[in-house]
This record gives sequence, structure tokens and C-alpha cells, in this order.
Amino acid sequence: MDPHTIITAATAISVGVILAAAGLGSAIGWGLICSKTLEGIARQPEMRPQLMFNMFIFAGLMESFPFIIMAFALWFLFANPFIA
Amino acid sequence: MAGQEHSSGIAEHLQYWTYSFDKSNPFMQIHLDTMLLTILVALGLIVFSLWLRGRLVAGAPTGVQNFMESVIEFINQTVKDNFSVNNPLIAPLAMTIFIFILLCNLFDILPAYLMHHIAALFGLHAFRQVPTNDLNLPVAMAISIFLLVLYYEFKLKPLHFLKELLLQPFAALLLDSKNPVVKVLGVLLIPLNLTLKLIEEFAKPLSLAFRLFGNMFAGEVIFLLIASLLLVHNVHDLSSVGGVVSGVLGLLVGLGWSLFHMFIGLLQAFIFMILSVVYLSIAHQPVEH
Repeated sequence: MDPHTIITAATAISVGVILAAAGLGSAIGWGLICSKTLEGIARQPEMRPQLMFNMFIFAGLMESFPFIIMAFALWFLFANPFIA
Repeated sequence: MAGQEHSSGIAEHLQYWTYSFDKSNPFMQIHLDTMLLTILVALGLIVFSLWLRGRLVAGAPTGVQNFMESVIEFINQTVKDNFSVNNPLIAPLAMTIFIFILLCNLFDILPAYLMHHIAALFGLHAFRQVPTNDLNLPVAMAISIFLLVLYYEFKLKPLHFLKELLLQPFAALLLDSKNPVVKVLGVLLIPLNLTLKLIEEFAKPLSLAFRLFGNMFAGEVIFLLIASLLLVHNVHDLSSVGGVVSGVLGLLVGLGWSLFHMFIGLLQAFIFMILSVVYLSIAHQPVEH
């Protein structure tokens, strides 16, 4: 097998692993944030607008890491730096 | 074969309109589409502000003035909540960051390849219409914020900042112990402290830049991938049943993703603004003894 094929195959597998990790991290993070928000709303229903507003802000912050590594994965996929 | 065509097709859609000063050096390039669009946005903002200044009404505001007042109130409230010291630069800086990044992200409402087709009429080989897609713009903004933070740290509390750089996190060894051997160990750990602190200092603007870039870049690539959901290879086949089904599917998925992406663009502009204000407020904290 020539090196080009090996690098392309390895890149494909690694992109799969990176995207799986991104999805997993993002889902677990959102789950934790939303569960705590729901607990807070259950304790104090009058704080619901505040809590929802803050939930979106912090979820946007936490969402940044999956997006960063997804950008890297897409870069490896479409403009592979390992080839040449 | 078709898959490879698709992926190379997407990769070629991700080119910028670059001007190279020096073809052998990849750093001596300017992405002219990003520069043009950001200058356009900045000029538009300046012209809009000057126009609005001419027709300000005290009393009950209406229309554009009302909208801008609500935006200013929102940013004022945000800065007041997060920034405890008095510095007249911060609120205008926050408003500029928020509105500028928001307007740059709003360019994503246009279809992904529209400006490219328009630019092809003028003979250009590529044109990306979202300036924040380019890695250069978010990194430039993050570097500016980083330099501002460093400037305020050195201006307001230079000794404290230096001590923090050299002695955190392993400070107790040097300061609290009486044993001279442990003191020498504390001095030897200063390079390690410096390394750890520098990594932490650099991670902040890097994460700021890559958060914005990653969100916008991934959004654009997903738009292109949705466009390649069309399972037919030429326009003539679009009228077949498969063509219609996949066309409608692509349209619906594209619409859903477009709405979500607009929301993400707004959210990321807001997060960039809030994080800049928070970093600057950390730099402004008075040293307590």
C-alpha cells in the first residue's frame, strides 16, 4: 500500500473518532447544564427567565470545545495537511 | 469516485480570494475578501452612527433610535454586571465587538456560494462572504483583546502581575518555609511557574479566537455538505422523482440549519463580548492585601 492510501485511511478513522468525541462531549455537557437548570427552576419557578437566559449563555460557552475540534476534524477531512 | 469528487468539490469551495506578496511564503498573503467585507461593515457602522446622530430626539424615542437605545441599554447592563471598576473604554469596546461580530456573522444568511458566483463575473476565482469564517479575523480580534489585557495588567498592578507570573502556583515553597533548601527549590521552580502561567495566559485569547472561528467555519462546511445532499449529478435530473425528493429534503434541512446557525452567530458574538469584558475586569481587579 502506498503512503498516500495509508495516510488517507488513517485520517478517515481519526476524523470519525474526533467527531464521536465531539458529539459525546457536547451531549453530556448539555445534559448536565440543562439538568441543573431544571433543578433550579423546580426549586424557584419565578427564576425561570433568568435561568433559561443563563443556560443558553453557558451552553454556548461549553459548546465551543466540540465546535473547535469539529473545525479541526473538517480541516483534516477536506484540506488534509498530512498529504504533502 | 463521486465521493472523492464531492469532497474535493467542497475543499475547492473553501478557498479565499488571496493576494500573495510572496508566493513561497504562506504568511505573506492577504485574504482580500475578508478585508473588503470588514472594511465595508466598519464603514457602514460609521455612516449609520453619523446619520443617527443627526436625528436624535430627547423624550420618547421612536424607530431606529428606540432599537439602538435598547441595544445600548442591554450592553450597558452587561458591562455593569461584569465590570466593577470605572473605565470609560470598556462599554464602547464591548458594544463595538458585539455589533461588529454580529454583523459579520449575519453575512451567513446569504446562500453559501452566491458571492462566489457574483465575483466570478468579475474574474475572481473565489470569494467567501462571511469574514469570521477566515481564521485571520477572530485571531486578530483575540490578539487585540490579549494586548489590551496585558497593557492594563502592566499599567495598574505591575508588581503583582510579575509576582503572579513567577510564583504561581508553587508559591508556598519560596515564601512560607524557613528551610533554606526548600527556598532554593522554590527558586528553581520559577521556570515551571512561568511556563504554566504563560500557557494559561495564552489559552484565553486562543480559545476566544477558535471558539468564534470554529463555530462559523463548521457552520459553513455543514451548509456545503447539505448542498451536496442532492443525489443527482446534473440540473437536468432535478425534475425526476429522486431529484425532487432530495431537493426538498435538502431545502428543509438547510432551512433548519440556517435558523440554528443564525442563533449561534448571535450567541457567539455575545459570548465573545462577555468574555472580553470578564478578562478585562480580571485585569482591573484591585490588589487586596
